[in-house]
Amino acid sequence: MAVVQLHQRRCWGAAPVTADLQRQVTLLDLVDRIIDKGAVVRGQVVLAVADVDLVKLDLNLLLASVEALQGADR
Amino acid sequence: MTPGLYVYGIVETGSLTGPLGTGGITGNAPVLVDVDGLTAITSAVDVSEFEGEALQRNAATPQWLEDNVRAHEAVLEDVLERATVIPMRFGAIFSSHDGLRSMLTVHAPALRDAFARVRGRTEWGVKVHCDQARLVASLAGPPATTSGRGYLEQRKAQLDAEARAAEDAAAVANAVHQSLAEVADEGLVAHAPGNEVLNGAYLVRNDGRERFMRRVQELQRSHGDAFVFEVTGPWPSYNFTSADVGGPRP
Repeated sequence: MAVVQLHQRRCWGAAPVTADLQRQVTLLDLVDRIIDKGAVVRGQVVLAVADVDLVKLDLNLLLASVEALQGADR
Repeated sequence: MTPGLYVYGIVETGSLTGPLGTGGITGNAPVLVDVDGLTAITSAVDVSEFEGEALQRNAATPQWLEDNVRAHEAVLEDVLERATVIPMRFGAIFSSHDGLRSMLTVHAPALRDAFARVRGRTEWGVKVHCDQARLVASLAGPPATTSGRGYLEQRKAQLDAEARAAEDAAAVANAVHQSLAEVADEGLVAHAPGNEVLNGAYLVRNDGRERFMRRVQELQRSHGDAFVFEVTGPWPSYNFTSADVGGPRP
């Protein structure tokens, strides 16, 4: 996945973006799409709707820590 | 071990040439399954990892989630530039080949409509972040004289600028979205948290990418330093194939 930063993110503040932060920012974009979007099949699917919500719930916790990291950069 | 079939996405049979990557969900390599002109990109998985207590444990393990979300995306990205793909949401697992076959047969019309919508196109994400302090400074204008009156005028300009900033940011977000939607086939706006003023997704023809990127750059230039643009892509068309393929939404 190419991330094109038309402006360096460091213009937000003094701290430059670490490689690790960049990795997590992209994870945020990923989760945004893969967990919430995309075609959904019901019926023969094993993973129950409730379980998908469970995965989503835990991903939200993961994302909260991602956002905290981003916040620290600003 | 309960065998199951994880589905990443669907392509039209014959559209995908060349080998698939070796990585996949829970470490299982992707395999193609053809059914009446449609081809599912799948991996054999152990269903017990995605059920009950094991799922609770896995889903609560950030590394497990990250690895598998990334694996899902990596498999689709590997095919994205070679074929049009309908991306499935994370966690579509069938208990058997028969279950997958029956889904592809029953929902073939909906899937064909989805292909017609996204064929030859990919999704691009554009986020615009607002640097509030810079925006207020640009709205307030340059500092006036150092006299007492000048100070008061400057103070008033500052307060006015703060009051106008949110409105201005929303207007910029709206203008940017309208402008990008002109050079895309479709565009939609998702929730934008925090300092983000726009979180847009755009369905762009593959032969129109340069035009789209040029437009983003023009917008970045014309809206100045207070707005930071971030573009991601190409993505599988997650935002433009989100229609359910088999039943009502929860």
